Amino acid sequence: MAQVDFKNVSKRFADVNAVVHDFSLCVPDGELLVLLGPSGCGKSTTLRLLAGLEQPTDGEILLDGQVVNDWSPQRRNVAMVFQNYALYPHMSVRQNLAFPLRMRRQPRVEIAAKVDETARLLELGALLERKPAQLSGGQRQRVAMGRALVRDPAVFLMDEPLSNLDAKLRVQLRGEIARLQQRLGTTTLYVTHDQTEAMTLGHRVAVMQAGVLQQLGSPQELYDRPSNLFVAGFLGSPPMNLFEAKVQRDAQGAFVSFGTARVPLPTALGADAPAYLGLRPEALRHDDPEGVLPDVTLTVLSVEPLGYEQIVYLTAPLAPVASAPETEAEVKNSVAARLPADYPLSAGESITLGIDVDKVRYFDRNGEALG
Amino acid sequence: MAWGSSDSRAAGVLIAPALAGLILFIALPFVLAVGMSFTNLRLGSPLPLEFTGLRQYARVFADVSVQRAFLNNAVFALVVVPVQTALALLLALALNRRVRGMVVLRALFFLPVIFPMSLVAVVWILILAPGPEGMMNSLLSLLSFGHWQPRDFLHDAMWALPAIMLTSIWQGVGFQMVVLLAGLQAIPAQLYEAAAVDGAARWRQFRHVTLPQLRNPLIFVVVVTTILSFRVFDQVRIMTRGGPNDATTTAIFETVRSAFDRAQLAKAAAIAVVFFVVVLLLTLMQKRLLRQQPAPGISGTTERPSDATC
Ligand SMILES: Nc1ncnc2c1ncn2[C@@H]1O[C@H](COP(=O)(O)OP(=O)(O)O)[C@@H](O)[C@H]1O
Ligand SMILES: [Mg+2]
Repeated sequence: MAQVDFKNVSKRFADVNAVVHDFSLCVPDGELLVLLGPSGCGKSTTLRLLAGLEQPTDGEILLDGQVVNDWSPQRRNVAMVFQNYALYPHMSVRQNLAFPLRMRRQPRVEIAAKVDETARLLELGALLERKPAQLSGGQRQRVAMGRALVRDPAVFLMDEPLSNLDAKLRVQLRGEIARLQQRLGTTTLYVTHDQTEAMTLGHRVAVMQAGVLQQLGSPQELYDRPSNLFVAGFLGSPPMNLFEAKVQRDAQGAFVSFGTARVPLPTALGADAPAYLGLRPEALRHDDPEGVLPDVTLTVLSVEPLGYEQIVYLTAPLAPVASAPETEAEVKNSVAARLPADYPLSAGESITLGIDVDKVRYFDRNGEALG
Repeated sequence: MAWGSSDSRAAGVLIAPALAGLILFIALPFVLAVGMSFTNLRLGSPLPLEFTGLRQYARVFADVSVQRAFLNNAVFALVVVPVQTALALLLALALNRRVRGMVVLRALFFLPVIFPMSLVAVVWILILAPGPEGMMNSLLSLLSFGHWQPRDFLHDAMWALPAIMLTSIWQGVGFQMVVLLAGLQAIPAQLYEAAAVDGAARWRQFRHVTLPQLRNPLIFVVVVTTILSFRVFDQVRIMTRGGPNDATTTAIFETVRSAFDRAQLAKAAAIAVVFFVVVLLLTLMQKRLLRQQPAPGISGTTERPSDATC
């Protein structure tokens, strides 16, 4: 068990820009921290820096307060689950599990006992004599987990361990990983590009983009108070609707017009003038019988029924943020609303929605969150 | 289905030329040789051709030179196969680096392979020249601070076979090196990383990742070199003519000597048949050894390339 610290760590490959840039992070003992970010943002590199498979160009990496920059991977006592599992193809499952223990010169009897225990924990008992090639993807993933679990490492590193599995297995193993980590209490760094995985697994989530740590916080914090436009546009499905905001003033104070709705700026913003405003799809409400929320009438562009709810894309009354990150089922120049599935809607219809003003987020010219 | 039969017809047409060549130049001569080995055929002999049963084989097995030839082949294989393989592995490991100029080095070590053996043999005759001026003699003298007594390697019963072995290793090691180098480069880097994280230092990575992953290339190299060891001929013919005193004679050399120097075609055919059986046994051994293991590779999911996601 150990605490992990990254102190201003940077990693540069040859003549390329920094893949990891001035990265600082403290993972307390026992935490499961998820590194979340789009493909190529430097997540794997960060993990490999901690494993000792890469050397930082700048900064320090600490395990339990000790600088380990010069320590070999062999000495660091971290266990890693690789994205492709990297099982030893010529060894049986039993030999794969025993390998880290053999390399640490543990007594035979102890190795056998630990392998059996780990196999029981991961339900690998029936597969012990098979070779990796004779296993299914999910079984290989379990063996890779087992090889990491078997030796009580100081830290677990998992690099997208579920990305090669089908959706159902992914959900199932996600739960198992969470339970295992809880039970063992081993500090864990878990890398993924899948926000659902990050939100469900992470005690805290660190969002990375282009090698830079964007925000660190609990899943709820990240969702409710994204610290910048990137995080706002990356999390959520569909993500936050982001628009350019023009601040106006009248007798009642500063506000932003969202179509016909007058959205008053919160007093907490003080003198800072927001340049962008963000609305989660659920901040557009259909259930506003008292009419206390500012109303806006918008035209339906398309509807995605999801069974218990529907995602409705409506004409955007403001200009969308040009630099917002690409998202999946986005309809261009639209605002997404998450509405109950009770009433049918179709394209071309007009609908009046209330804006939950407390849930509107504001960002300054640089994309940093305000308030 | 209709295309099934037209498919096999097409296959037959495509195979035909190769099959014809195989029958004409390999199978037919071999059948003739087997037939010949049961006769008393000699070129220019006044005696009538007759069936002599196993008499040629009895002669072959009783012939001291032939016995010595097969013994030499065995000794040659027992020394050259392990030494050459180990050397090739060391070279492959040393050259398996991403360093500028490595390609040139690899090419240099491979160069002897593309030289014809006859050329290599002549070069080595010069290297092994007798007297203190010979390159090998003067080198050994230098290394031993003058204690080395110059000798005539190729006419020395003790040194002739080692000299042939040295020549063969020098010429053949590059080929094995290239095979093993390809094998090394096919080992996924991630296996080494996993082993390092699991606590394996350099030597144990070699023991537990490199060697098992190189299993099939190593078996291939060992079997091919063994077979080639039994086919040694050119260097013997050019460098020592089997001498001195049969010290360097080999199975093929004896076959050629019987057939062309002594015109004993039937006896040569019998040696060739025995030789064939030996090589066949070696090949069967190879098949058995190779059958056991699946092809190595990384044990991830195969349905999706690794960088498909992140
Ligand atoms: N050994 C390397 N040499 C050069 N560039 C590299 C190397 N490893 C990773 N990179 C680059 O660093 C960036 C981040 O890679 P990586 O950490 O694997 O991203 P992620 O795991 O978030 O997808 C990528 O642009 C990748 O091309
Ligand atoms: Mg990655």
